[in-house]
Amino acid sequence: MKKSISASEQPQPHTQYEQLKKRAPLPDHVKYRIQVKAKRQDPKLKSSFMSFKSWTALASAVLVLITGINIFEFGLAQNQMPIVQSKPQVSLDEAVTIQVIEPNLATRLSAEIITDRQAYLAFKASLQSQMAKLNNDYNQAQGEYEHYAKMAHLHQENKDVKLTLCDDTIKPVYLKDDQINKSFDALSDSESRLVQLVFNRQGKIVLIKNTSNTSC
Amino acid sequence: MILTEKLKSWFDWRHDQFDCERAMLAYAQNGNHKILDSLVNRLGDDLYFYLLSQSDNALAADISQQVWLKVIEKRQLYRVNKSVKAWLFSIGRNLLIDQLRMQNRWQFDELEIQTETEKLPFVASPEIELSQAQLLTQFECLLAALPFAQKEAWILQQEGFSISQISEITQQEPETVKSRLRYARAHLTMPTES
Repeated sequence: MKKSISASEQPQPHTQYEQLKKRAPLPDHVKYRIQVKAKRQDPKLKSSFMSFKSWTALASAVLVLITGINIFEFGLAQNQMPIVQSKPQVSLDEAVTIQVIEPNLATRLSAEIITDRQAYLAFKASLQSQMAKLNNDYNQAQGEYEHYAKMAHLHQENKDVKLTLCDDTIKPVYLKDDQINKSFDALSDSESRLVQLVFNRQGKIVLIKNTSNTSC
Repeated sequence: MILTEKLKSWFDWRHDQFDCERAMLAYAQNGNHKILDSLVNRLGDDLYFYLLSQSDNALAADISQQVWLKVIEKRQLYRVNKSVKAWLFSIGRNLLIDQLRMQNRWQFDELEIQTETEKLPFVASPEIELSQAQLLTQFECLLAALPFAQKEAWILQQEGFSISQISEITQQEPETVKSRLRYARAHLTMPTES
């Protein structure tokens, strides 16, 4: 049953105002957004979040480093592995087609592979021997002069000196007589002799000296 | 049962003891989100209802949120010895007026009672008996019909602000505030007197 009151007994405006206010509170979603924002701006939580971020960054960096090392080591291992000829993966139809178009394809490919491999191995051996020689020369020169040394043919041409390196890696070099720090016996014109060139670490010839070697 | 009542009274005491100014000062210093949550729980409904009575649900919610976000971002701007509630209401009022102006809804009527008064569902007289709900609806209509300035002054007074605080929030002379309050009171008690 509805409770009725007379108009003379009606509540004060303030009471009615409070009743109205209770009926319309701040919506929960607004409260929630405010709370979330306040939490995000809280310096205490912010700093802990920042430290979490720093740790995450550090952990990521370490992970990247470890992965990088593993990839590098895997690459090295791959380089040292012998070349293995794998069987081509072809279907029966493809094999028949190939047989019709070029019956000797398999033989030709095998021969090419063998030739290429031999060329590769020869190149590799040459490179390795050059590297070994280079290291040897370098170490030898380093032991004696702490400089880099090379053998060269020396020709006296009037006042100039022409140097031709034994390993022929660079073009002959012409030097003025007064530019050279000489420590070798004087040559007459058009005479040729084997000498040792001493380079400094910048690649500049610092000394030309006699050598007991008779050939390059 | 006794324990429940004791607990309830303890919580009520805690609630009464909550000092908004001290809480805001602490929040301004350390930014602890829990303090702000308490302030929102304490003052959020008052501010929202003030804004709601001058606009609509969506705008009131939006401006309430904006006010609190401003408090969060500019907490250092809170001045000691200033009422937090007055500060919040000032920010809310300014934002509301800006928003109403942007939406071309800003109508500052000093004295004109809105026509909705004429559309009241009923006019009470001593002979007619009314239910609580009907009286509340009638009051709601009367309040809604008040002009912006009078409604604002009256609501702020109900929220516990003094004349000088209302004059500060509304940026009006105290005499103007008093006059608005007089008109508002007369309007809100009109049905019973008629």
